[in-house]
Amino acid sequence: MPTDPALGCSAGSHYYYWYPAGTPFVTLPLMIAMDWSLRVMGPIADRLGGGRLGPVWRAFAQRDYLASHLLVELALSSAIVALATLFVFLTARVYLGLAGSIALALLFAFATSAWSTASRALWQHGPAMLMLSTALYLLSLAPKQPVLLACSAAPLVLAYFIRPTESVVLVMVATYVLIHHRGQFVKWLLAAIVTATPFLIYNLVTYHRPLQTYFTLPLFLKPTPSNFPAMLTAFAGVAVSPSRGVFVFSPFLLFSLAGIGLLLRKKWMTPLWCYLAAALALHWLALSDFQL
Amino acid sequence: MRPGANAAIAFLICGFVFVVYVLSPISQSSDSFWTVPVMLSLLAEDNIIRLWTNTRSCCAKNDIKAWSVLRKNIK
Repeated sequence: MPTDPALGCSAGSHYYYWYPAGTPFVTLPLMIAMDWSLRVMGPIADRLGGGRLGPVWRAFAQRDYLASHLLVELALSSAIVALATLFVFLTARVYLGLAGSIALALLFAFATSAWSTASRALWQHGPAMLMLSTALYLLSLAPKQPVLLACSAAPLVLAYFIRPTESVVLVMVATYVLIHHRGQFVKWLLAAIVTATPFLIYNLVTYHRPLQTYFTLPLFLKPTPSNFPAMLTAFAGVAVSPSRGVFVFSPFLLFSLAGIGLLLRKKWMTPLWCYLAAALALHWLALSDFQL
Repeated sequence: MRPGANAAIAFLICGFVFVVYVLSPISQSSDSFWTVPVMLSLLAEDNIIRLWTNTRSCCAKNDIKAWSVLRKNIK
């Protein structure tokens, strides 16, 4: 029986998808849009390209998505992260001028792992970025349009079903709504339940359990003194490791720490920023606690 | 600035980012290997994974051909 998650896990005569089902579900509308475009453009490209098209490109033009799955992944993940950039820009426009917003969006798109990782293949990172940026946009608009506060539950729940560690953000925003917008909490919760239900049903039907095993794996170190050195190393590594440190590859993000200091002093966007900053810190801690 | 102008600029940025991303080098990852097959199985009339065990055949001709390629690759 193959144990490599990338090869799926066989049980009986079937193969079961091991990674969270959120990525394929969220990407499905884009896949349908791409398929419809290729129904029109594919034959034209195939005819114009003639013998010059490589086998993968020809397969793509002929809508043979498995033979051309790398191109499909590139196109869809690029579209997903480009859409996330759109929401980063729109969120920035709520608070900043045009030039600042464009600069921030382009920094997100080209000076972070959005370009080097999330947009390169159809894994969890890109769709999670899209869901979080959408939720942030809705939360930013909510003070003027309160109905959007409840809507923010949908992308956050989707983010959880895409990548379970996004539960940190989901819980922090739920706490924020519960404490500071109690009147909206039932609506927010209803939106969350409606979004989660199809996934729970899918998991029950497919895996005979509400959550896939990926969500319940014991992946985290126990908080015992013997584990603290490893956790501290990982904590520093996430920030400044030469091979993957976030501040090594995207040093401009250091300004976000200064931004948190500024928020603290000026009490701007209070109290939402406190919950978002706490989500950031807890996420960092969760990554440091990850058992490799 | 009118709200429409904001949206227009947002879509321009989105389009620009998409074009640059698509033209950038591709990345191969076994972690994402199954995402496209799972999407196709969700789009298929019936669960495409059934094709694997030959219990049913219900999918588009292209999918069947592609699955045989995939099956060969995995073997």
